[in-house]
Amino acid sequence: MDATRRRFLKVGVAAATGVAVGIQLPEHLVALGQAVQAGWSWDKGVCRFCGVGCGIQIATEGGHVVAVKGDPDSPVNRGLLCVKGYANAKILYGADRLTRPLLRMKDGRFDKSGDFVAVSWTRAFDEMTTQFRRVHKELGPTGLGVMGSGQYTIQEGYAAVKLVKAGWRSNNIDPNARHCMASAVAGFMQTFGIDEPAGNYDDIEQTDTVVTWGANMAEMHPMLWARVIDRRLAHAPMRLINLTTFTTPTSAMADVEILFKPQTDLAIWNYIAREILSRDAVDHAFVDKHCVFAAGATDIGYALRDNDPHEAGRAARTTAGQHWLITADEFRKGVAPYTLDYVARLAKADESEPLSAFKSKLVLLADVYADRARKVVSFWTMGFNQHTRGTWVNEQAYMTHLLTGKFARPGNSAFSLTGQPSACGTAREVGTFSHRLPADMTVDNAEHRARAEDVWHLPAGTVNPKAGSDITRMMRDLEDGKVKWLWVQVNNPFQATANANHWIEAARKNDAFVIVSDAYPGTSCKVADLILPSAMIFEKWGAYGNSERRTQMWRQQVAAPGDARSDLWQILEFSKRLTVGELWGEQAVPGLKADGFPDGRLPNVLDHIGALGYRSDSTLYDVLFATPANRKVEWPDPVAQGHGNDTVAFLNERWFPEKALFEEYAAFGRGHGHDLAPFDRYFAADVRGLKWPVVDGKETHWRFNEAHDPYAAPGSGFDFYGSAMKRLPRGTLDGVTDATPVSLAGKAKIFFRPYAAPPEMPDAEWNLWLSTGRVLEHWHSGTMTRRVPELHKAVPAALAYMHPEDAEARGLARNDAVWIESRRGRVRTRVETEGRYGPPRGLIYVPWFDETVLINKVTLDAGCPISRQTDFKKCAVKVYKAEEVAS
Amino acid sequence: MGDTETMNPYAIAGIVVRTLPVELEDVADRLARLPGIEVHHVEISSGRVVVTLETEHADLGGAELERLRDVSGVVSVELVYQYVAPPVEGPELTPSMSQGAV
Repeated sequence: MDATRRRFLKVGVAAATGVAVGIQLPEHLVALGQAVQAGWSWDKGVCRFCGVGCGIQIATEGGHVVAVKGDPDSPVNRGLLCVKGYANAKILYGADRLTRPLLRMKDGRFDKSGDFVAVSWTRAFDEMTTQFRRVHKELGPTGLGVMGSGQYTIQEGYAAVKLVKAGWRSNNIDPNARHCMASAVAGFMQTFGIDEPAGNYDDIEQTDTVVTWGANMAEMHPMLWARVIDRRLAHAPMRLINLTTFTTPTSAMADVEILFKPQTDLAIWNYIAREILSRDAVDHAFVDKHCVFAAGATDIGYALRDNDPHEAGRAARTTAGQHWLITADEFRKGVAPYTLDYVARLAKADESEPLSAFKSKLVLLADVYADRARKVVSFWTMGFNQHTRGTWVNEQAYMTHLLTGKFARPGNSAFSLTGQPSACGTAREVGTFSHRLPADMTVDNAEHRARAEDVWHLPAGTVNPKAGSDITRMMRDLEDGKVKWLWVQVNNPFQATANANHWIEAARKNDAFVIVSDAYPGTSCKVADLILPSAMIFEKWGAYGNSERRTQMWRQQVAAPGDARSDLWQILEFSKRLTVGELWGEQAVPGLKADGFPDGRLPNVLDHIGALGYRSDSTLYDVLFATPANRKVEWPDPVAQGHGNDTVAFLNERWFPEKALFEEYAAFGRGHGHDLAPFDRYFAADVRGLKWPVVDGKETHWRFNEAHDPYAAPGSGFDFYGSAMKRLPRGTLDGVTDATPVSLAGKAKIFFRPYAAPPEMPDAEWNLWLSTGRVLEHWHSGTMTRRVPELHKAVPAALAYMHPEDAEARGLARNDAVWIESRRGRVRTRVETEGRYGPPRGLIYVPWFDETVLINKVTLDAGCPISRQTDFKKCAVKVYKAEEVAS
Repeated sequence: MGDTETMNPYAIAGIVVRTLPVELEDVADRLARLPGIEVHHVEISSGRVVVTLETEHADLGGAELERLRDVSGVVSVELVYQYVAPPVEGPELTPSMSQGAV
């Protein structure tokens, strides 16, 4: 590119930048900005990365994305973007983009020990189908598995769920979101009986306090953090308190940093509750009218394998979610032992900090929550959700906010910040979990199955009543030979799952067939048998739902390279290969026990398909997707405004799958508290996403609050109308004393949850805590962001962040090569004793984005037994010097 | 596969740097001395500076953004706009993949 052109572009970009944020520019500069953009076509979109859901504007020219800017009209980010956000254009254009299906072959045939050979889509689907039939015949529906994603578009997730649950009659579909916010889901469901946050991001501008718990917002949710900082600067009473196990960039802006030992957040919450009671800071009017107290089983184990020594004798490990009502007096008894002295000694992490100083901070924290005049927002992320008591610690946040009435009111909020762009919109709302159906329904509930079968036009008894395997258990199933056909979509589980050595080896076993759909060759592709090249975000139509219930949509902007195709196309095209005749006969499902079903079997439903207009040779494509109703939703559609749709083009069809499937899915939630707007509405020029429930065209800002939520009953003030788990027996802290169920309609539960030590803690040999996590520059496993030059150069490798004295004690200096070893495996990296993370003595921090430092070979696959989410923040390791190797 | 390959296309980032208004001119001078950075406009009333960052030179990139933040008098660095020149050639059709151990 010549110098004149560069000069022209630079000045034009500068002008467009100024205009975007409302800086007054001289007229000639504004004109230059417009000149640079002449011939570009702009459209609205949403960022590909985290759960904040920033609005962006995308410019295309000549079939390429040429520019991205923050959307000044987005209420989320107001024109600004973080360093990842502006990489939205570049991620499409990495050099090693996958553009052809690749199958392991030898001598022209599939061979598990063969090298990858480029094949046609037809050949790829042929092999998938052959292997599918082999495994289905041997193991039935539970031998099949899909690992899905919180990065699925809503339509992709919905199609995948329908294919697996309605078509295959398997419930073995589970998203990487299991690792991300399953504890937030379980905590919210148990407390409120319905999923997803009450508040929204606008709480930030209306609060007096932000308390971050296990959330490095400054790096992981930068544009929300920018709003927090703006509030801190503009509102004098505003205070920031950061609770964390090691110092992060979020600590830098905090008024108070509380460094606590891993897992002791459970005890800190109970100290706060004890203080609220002893100071009589309870909002009695709110609690009496809208809340009940509850407790549950405590001996629940750690979601490890059944034969793990940590699970031995755990009485409640298979009934971990059971809970019952208790009295306010029982609740008081529960929190009574959590005195300041006890909790401070248990929780203080920094050995150089005086106990008195740490106690003062805990008192200040209790002051903040107990002060009736002070509004408080609690934010948390993976520090809570990735926790062997993740469900409990979520519930403790609600405990505190409900006790003080600081909930579901502007400026008062307890809020789980999601990690992925559609963890809420797809994983939670669509229900791509192994136990779920759309709109918070579950497969073990006969009424819910009947409703799904009705919407889906399935014979009664088609949907499998036995929950499938969560994503970690599916890995164990793969190792045990219980799952032998696995399709990975929009995620990288062989890098992202704890204790990864086992799963990598399992994938390479002789009779497992592993398919990975991806845009770049990450770790999971390397262990696959078949790689399918996927279209990326702006190469397809889609919709995401962010952390604050905001659904946002975008149009296809450009074509995918080579033979890369959308995941939706892949799902629909594969569904043409299978017929109901081969899937809807009687099927063996080991362990199935449900009313109306023979033990261990799904019934033959083929006798009833004629009434629905199907034949045994009807394909899943015709029965599930290209239905008569969906075929009426025609492509082309005026909403496209000239944009293409390659999903339609490669299906060679005249219906509009992204619109038809969205509307079909939305039928589950409309009238049930999950109302989505009509598809076209999201594309209107004045809409930047809408927060559901959208009722009478209006979005809902604060749920459960009568002043804001049309679902809250008139006159109620607050109405926790969720219906799940709302009939409970009564008991004490120790268990049920009266099994007669009591209705708690309209109420939220204030749980007592005790402190429980994690299963693996440092000892004399394995003498350091290991916490893993993310960094600002990289998205999850790095398959996209490590291909963006400036992001890769900024943070090229995952380092082991360590306290300088811990390094010195091991004879290590900054930048030394080291092994990090646990009982499960070891990885090699370098020591960092400076930089942006400051662990206290006794803990190291290693980010997980880097496939060359595959830290999940070291981590422990223990998790929360209620949510089945893995705790990636706590295991015991040792660190020692590694031999230098020439690089 | 260990090292990540990139196309490294020519790109320009449009950035708004917020400064303490009293230091505005000094900060703008310091910014202008950084390689790859060009100062295009200063808004005296708000202390905001519009700069561009070219990302083609090998020594530029995200690390450079950190360096912007480290410039004395800078309050915040906000990325607003990203231009990416269209690739001259398409991506390679078949990546080199072998069955190497992970």
